[in-house]
Formats: sequence, structure tokens, C-alpha cells
Amino acid sequence: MGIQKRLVGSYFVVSLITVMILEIILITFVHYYFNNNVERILTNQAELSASFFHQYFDAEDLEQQSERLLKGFSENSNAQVQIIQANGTLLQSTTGERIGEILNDFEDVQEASLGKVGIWRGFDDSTHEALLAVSYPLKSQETTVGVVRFVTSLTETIKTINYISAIFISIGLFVLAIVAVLGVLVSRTITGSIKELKIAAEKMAEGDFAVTIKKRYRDELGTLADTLNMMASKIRRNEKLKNDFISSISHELRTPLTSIKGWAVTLKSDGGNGKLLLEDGLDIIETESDRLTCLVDELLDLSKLDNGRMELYCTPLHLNELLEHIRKQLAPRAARQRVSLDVHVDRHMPVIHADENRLKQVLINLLDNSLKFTSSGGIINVNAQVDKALRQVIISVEDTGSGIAEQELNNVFQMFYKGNNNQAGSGLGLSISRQIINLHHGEMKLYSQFGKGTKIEIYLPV
Amino acid sequence: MKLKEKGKRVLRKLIWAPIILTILLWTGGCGLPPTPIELIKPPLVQENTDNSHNITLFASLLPAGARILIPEQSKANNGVSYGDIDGDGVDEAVIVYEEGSFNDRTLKAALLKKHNDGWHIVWDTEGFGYGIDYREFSDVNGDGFPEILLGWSFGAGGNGLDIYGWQDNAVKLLSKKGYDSESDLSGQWTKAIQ
Repeated sequence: MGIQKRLVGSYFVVSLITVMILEIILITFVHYYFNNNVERILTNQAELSASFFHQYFDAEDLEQQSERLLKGFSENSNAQVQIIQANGTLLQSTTGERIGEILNDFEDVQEASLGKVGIWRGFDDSTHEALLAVSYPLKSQETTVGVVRFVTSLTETIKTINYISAIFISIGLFVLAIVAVLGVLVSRTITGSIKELKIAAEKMAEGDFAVTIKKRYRDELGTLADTLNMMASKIRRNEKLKNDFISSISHELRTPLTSIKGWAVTLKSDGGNGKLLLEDGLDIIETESDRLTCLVDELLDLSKLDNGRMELYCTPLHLNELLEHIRKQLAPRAARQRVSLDVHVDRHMPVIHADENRLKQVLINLLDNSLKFTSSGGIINVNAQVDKALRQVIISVEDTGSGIAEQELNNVFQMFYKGNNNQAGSGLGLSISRQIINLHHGEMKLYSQFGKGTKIEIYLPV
Repeated sequence: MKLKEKGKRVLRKLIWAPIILTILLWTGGCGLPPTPIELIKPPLVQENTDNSHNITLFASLLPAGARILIPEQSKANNGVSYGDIDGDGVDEAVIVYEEGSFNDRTLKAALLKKHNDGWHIVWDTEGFGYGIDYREFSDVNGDGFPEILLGWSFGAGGNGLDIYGWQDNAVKLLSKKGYDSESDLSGQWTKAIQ
């Protein structure tokens, strides 16, 4: 509700300010327009009257012809017309009242007596009316013999202005009402999505990652919905990976433990008879313990990589020596599986700077995988080349094994991913290998065709 | 960061708005728009090239929006009088017209002379009052040439008579007097001559 209130509120405030500014401008304009026009009309009439008097009637005495003049002055005007003598005495008035009074109190009359145009706005206390008066001097030759004064009540003008203002204000209120309703409707399209997101996020926080959020619009909120959905599906997959990992690790731990325990029991019950059996048993216990150690080492590596605590001890390294060493180490296994293992190293291989043990770990891991998935009669090629232009060394391991299906290619580097093969292993090897290469500022690429073989390339900077 | 920049750009646009508004007001003129009564104008008339209708020809010589007035005391009830004011043997014409409307109304009179190629306004003057009462050529001072008599109306307040004559190859104001009615008019002529 918070966001909707804020949205509607800000819509409302923005339009309120806009409407208010417009209203103020419009009403001010109307006010000015009406007042100015009334004043202009009176001024024109007064000017016309005064100039006609000045042109044709200035020779006669003002008082004598005042009655006739009044008719002429008021001919085209609804305003009250007054003819005032130069001393301020009211001679004639269309309303006929206050004749003989001195009107010198009024500023406009004073001004006009001095020969200037006088305009006065004021308030009649007796009738409670706003008034506008325009006075013009009546001149004979160059002397002011009197004043013609046009007085209008502003009641109707004010009423009209108020009426128009009321119309403007009600239009403004109507607009504001429409804006408010529209604001609620429009904000609902935003808050609706946010509410859905909120509910879904709450469910996720409670641990229900099976929820999916419907994407309503292709905007930021839509993207957020997509992101949340993606996050949920990743969490679901990680959950599955974790479960798979636990079961596979348990299995991996259990197998050597079973055989160790089996042999321990056998040797115990045997009571020291048969030295051969004892030696065999101890051998097996030793290799199985090694396997366990290996597994635990991998797990340790994994946790180190995860925490960023893995450190490299880089030394100058001759790749051809390392590869030859590895070939020698794995040749017996390859021979046993009837897989041909070839190693080819460029003659001008430069000395690279790397952690020998970690690099060895990576290469043995890759070759172990290749041996695992290559059936007898297959070929495994290890190649080391120099790319002088890019200042890097490329080590490739290529086999003619079972390959990886396309849809699984993206997953093989993920932790705990084991594919569909029920092969032994933790599913950590490739993931750890890649991270080790990355720590060397290198890169590992994988190409594979299902049923034909796999090629892995390691790029290491010189 | 992006949002801030966007905000700044919007602000910069907002700063321009009042400047543009001011320029618009400036070029559009700050004056008040006319009142509706000032907007009432006769429809455009197709110009009549027929010379016999001099009045339409004269109207076409006047500034746009001017209207020819017919005097209240007009014998022929038309808007033009003819007379040979300069004594060259060819009649001149005088017309009275109004310009503008309501609040900015001006009354004017014009003298037209016929040259070889047609009529031209050779002289004009501003009038006073609400309208025109009398407009004729008449030899009031007995010099053998007619004078222009223009009686401006001030409604019930009376009228004002201007008498213009030909002196030194130009139109000159000879007299300016108020009068009450038609009967008073001829009295004013004689007064003017005295």
C-alpha cells in the first residue's frame, strides 16, 4: 500500500501544483483583462467627450450648457457621468444626486482639475460598492474649466470575474479528480506487479523455491520477476546438486571404508596366518586409504577455492619435463586399458611460471577423465604448443572417448556435476581444475562431440 | 549515477522552458487580446471595378477595415459629396469613414481628387464625437468656390461644425463651431463668415 499511496500522492501533488499555477495565471489574467477593459472603455469615452467639448463648445460657459453636454457625454455609456466645475462643485450627474457637492476629495477629480487624466479605484462606504472613476479635464483654450467624470460600479465586473474564476476552479478540481482516479488506476499496474513479487519473494524466503512469478510487463519489474525466477531455479538446481553430492560423497567414502573394514576384519580373524594374505590386505588398505585421502584433499581444495584461500607457489617450470613425468606415471594404466597415450611437446617450449604441483594435479585429472571415458583401442593425445604472437602456451588433451552430449556441455564445469555416467568420482575434478587454471591467469576450453571424443585446451600465459 | 545525470538533463530542459515562454510572449506581443465586440467585422466584399459605383472604389482606397459613414442629414442618403473645391473645373469628392472599432474608434474625413489614372486621397483629417451629422460641399463665404462642411455628431450633446476651404493650394480649416440642429446649422455658416 505504501508505494501506491506514494505514487498516487506524487501524481496528485504534481498535478495540483500544475493546476494551481495555471489557475493563478488564468484568474490573474481574467482579472486584469476585465478591469483593464472597463478602464479603457471609460477612458476612451471620457477622452472623446473632453475632446469634443474642447473642439466645439469651449467658448460657452460650462454651467449654462452642462445639461446638454451631459446628454452628449452619457450618450454611449451606461456609466454615471458627472460634470464638475474646476473648483470641484458637481454641476450635473446622470443619477441626479449630490449636485452642488464638492468632489475635491477624490484623487481623480483633483488630478483632472490640474489638467491631467485621473483614474480612481475605491469603495463607496454607503452602498458597499467597489467603484472605478475616470476623470478628464474639460479645457477651454489652455485652462481647465471643468471635469467630466465617468463612474462605474465594479460589482458586475467583480461578479463576472468571480463567476469565471469559479468555472476555472471547478474545471481544475474536475481535472484533479480525474488525475487522482487515473493515478490510482495507473499506479495499480505498478503496485500489482510489486505485490506479486513481494508475495513470491516472501515464499522464497520461507524456503519454497517452487513458486514462479508471472511476468506482467516488459519493464524493470518484469526483469526482476525473471531474475527471481532464475534465482529460484538456480537454488533448486543447487539443492539438487547438494543432495546428489552428499549421496555420491557418502558412496565414495563408503566404498573404500567398506573394503578397509572388510580387510581389517579378515586379517583380525585370520590371526596372523599366511603372510601373503596379510601383505595383500595391507596393500589394499593402503590404496583405499590413499583414495580416501585423495577425496578429502579434493574437498579441502574445493573449500579453499571457495574461500579464496588457495595459494599458488609459482616456480619456473619446464613443461616438457612435467608432461614426460606425467606420461610415465600414467603409461602403465593406459597400457592396461589398451589405450595409446601420446605426448608431443614443441621443441622450443619456453619456461613458464606456474605451480608445478597444481598444474600436475590439473593434467592428471584431465588424463584421468580421458582414461575413464575412453574404451580400449582409443587414443589420447597430449599436445603442448607455443603461441608466440599471443605470448601463451597451449596444452591440449584430446581423446577418442565417449564425448559429452551438447546439453551437458555447460554443466561439466559445475561443481558436483557428474553427468549420467555412473562413474566413480566426486564431480569436482573439472571444476577445481578450471579454477586452478584461472588462478594462473589462464583459460580452459572444452570441445566435445557425443560419441566421438573430447578435447580440452589449457591456455597459460608465458 | 545515471539517474542523477538524467535528472540534470531534465533540469536543464526545465530551465529552458521559461526562457522560451518569455520569447514567445515577447514576439507574440504582450498586449491584451481584443474584446469580442472589437472582433466583429463585415465580411470581405469582392471589389467592384465598375467606376459608376464610386463609393465602392473609394472604399477600396481606404485603409483595411475602414467603413464609409452616411451622415444623418444626408439628402441623397449616400456616403459621398462632390464639389470643385480647388476651382480646377473637376469635382473633388469628400467621404467620411471610421477606423477601428468600439474602444479604438477614430472618425476620419478624406478628400479625393480625380487624376488621369483615377481617384486618389489627397487630404484627410480626424473628426470628433460619435458620428457624422452633415457632410456637404457648399460655398458659405461667397468666394465662388465650395467649402467642405463637416458636422460631427455628439448625440444629444449637440454637434460640431468644421468648415474647410482651399487656400494656398491646400485644404485649410476655416472655422470650428458647435451647433444644435439643422436650423442652427445655417446660422453657424453665417457666423463662420463673419
